[in-house]
Amino acid sequence: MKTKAVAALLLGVSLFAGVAVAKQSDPYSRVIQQLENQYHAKKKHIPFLGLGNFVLKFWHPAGVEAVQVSLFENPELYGQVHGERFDSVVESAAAGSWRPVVREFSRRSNQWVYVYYTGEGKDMKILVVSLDPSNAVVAQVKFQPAKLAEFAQNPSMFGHSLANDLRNQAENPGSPGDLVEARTSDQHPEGPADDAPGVTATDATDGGTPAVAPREAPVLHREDPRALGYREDPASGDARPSDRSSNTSSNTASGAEKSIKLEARLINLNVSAVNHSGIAAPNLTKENFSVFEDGVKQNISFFETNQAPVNLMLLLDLSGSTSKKIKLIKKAASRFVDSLLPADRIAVAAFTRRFYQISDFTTDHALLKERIDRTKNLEGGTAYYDAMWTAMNLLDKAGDSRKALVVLTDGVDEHLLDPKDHPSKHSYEQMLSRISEDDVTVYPIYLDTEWYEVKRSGNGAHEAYAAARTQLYAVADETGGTVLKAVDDADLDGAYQKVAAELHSLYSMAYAPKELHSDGRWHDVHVKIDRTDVVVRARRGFYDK
Amino acid sequence: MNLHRKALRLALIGVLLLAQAAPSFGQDAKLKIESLAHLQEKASQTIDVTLDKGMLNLAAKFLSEKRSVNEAAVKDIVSGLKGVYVRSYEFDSPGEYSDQDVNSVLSQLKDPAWSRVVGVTCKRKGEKENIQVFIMTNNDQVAGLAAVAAGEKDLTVINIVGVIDVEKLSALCGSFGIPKFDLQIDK
Repeated sequence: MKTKAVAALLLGVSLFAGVAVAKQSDPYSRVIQQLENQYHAKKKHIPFLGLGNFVLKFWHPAGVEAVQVSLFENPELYGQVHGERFDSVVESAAAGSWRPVVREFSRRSNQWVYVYYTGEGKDMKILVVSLDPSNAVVAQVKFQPAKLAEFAQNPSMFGHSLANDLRNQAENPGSPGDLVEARTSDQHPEGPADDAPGVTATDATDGGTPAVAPREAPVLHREDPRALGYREDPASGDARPSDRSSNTSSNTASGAEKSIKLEARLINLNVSAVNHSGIAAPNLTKENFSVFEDGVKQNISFFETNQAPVNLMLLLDLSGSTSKKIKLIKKAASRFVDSLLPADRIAVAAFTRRFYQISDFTTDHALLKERIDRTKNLEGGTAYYDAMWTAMNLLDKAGDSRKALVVLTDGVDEHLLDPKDHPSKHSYEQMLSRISEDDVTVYPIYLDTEWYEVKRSGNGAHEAYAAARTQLYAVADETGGTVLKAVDDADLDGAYQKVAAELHSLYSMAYAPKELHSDGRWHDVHVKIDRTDVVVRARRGFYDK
Repeated sequence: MNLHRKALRLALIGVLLLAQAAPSFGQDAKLKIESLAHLQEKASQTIDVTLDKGMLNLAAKFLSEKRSVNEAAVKDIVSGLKGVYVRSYEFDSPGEYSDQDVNSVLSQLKDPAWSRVVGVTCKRKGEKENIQVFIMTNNDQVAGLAAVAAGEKDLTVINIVGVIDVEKLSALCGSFGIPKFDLQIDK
């Protein structure tokens, strides 16, 4: 009897000492203290928690040595402790050897969660503090990681395996805590059709084709493009994401599922395939093509036929040198739109020293023609390189494959004529490098204005025009496109028709390079076809950055 | 939670990209990202994850080689890491973070030891987001990875310090929300 009394006394002392030490050293106690003293929160009694902790003193199931949990219920608590003040409470309480693992704050759901841990090796402690508008929960668990891990690998208690029980519970959809609750939001439960007949991922009005995100409302052209309607971009190019116009509906942005794609692992190629008369070669398959990078044959992992729609940007140079021909340019551009396929998505833009977007990408060809028709004479200098850069930015947003840029220009950037007075934001070399990286096929339509410019500014312009022509050919060559010359007005219409035919000779394909060096060096790409009656053309290579 | 999934995916993509580069590691690739902490005041949602070596060791203990091939691969990957640090902020309106905030991270990545390895585009219907991924190399060995994702209304920075066994990498594809893609490993 005496022995039992001494044992009970020792046990009581040790428990008290343990609690006292915990109160002094643990952030758990410090957070509780703050909640009770500073915010006058009332702790809610949790039945059997004391008994449970008493048991844990002698028996450590799954390596758990102590569990401390406090629940506070107080509707006013959140209002008193939310925000930065509660951050500092938790942070100062967990100062020292405690390290943060997760801190999550959601102002939308008014939820604050903190997870800290301390200790390594034999014993670890984890502190969890959660605060929402009606509750605060503070919990701390002391455990032996090795034993807990062992239990997680093979859950058993008193020699009875819990693994089967858990498995049975998971496999039984009617059981409590089933997989529906555990399902991550990455999965898309098939909702019962009769519950929500209108809620599907496709547009019911469009014969089941995927719903398209809303596009920007059309912008009308008026006399002063800066004030009246064009979405004007000073051809600067690099807009930060936050600078972009936010035309995505909020419900789309918040609720839509994200997909992530690693683009750089794939080299995209638009391959033109025509017969010797220049007519598109139809019905070719992936097997007809071979792609070589630096002489090494690559596996084509993506292939799209020439019947797929094209994302096309029509860029019109309406600067001083070409402005005299605006009626002709507009007429030819409209006929060009007519000659494209109904499913082709086309955007139209014009440039002088500035960049004017006349129409966003659309399949509404009537609207495009109307916009082109309304385009007025813009006049001004020629920032060709910067305009190309901005056009590439817009094409980046247009889609993933079969992208083309048709630019009607004389190619003479002001920088060529007068580098000092007309600095360019992007140099020719930068523009060429960008184009060679992007999978856009560029078709320059060279509108010859040399005579006009020489007459205006003298023979010195000849040199600039020669350089411009060289650059246009280089751009086309780099991207697998071709230069079409419009020496006189009559040629322009024909040039557009040739481009339209070329566009539908394009096959899209992609391969994952067998070797990526990330060395910034140029790598040759060569496309071959097993048909002697067909000629192929594609971009010549890429910089492995 | 959307932000959770995004952060997780970015972290896992980071792990994948890191693993593609090369085995082994060198100097510490831990970035100073504490300067972003002030964004918490403006953010409608904040996720701040700090998994240091101790916590990664613990996580590794809970993964089993026997349960599945994927879990074995994840265990191997986690075992090779020294730290995973995520700061993710979601805002109610655009323009809540500044160039300075982004540059506070990007400026550290201008160090010659870091190099940009790949451009990743993360698309949500109609929205596009720029993600830049960098790896730190040291004597031709990879020491860490950083990913900066700047969207109109969110900013996420991932910093992974350590290495992964390349051979275990492909087991992760198609699991844990990682899309299946044609993964080419340089050897």
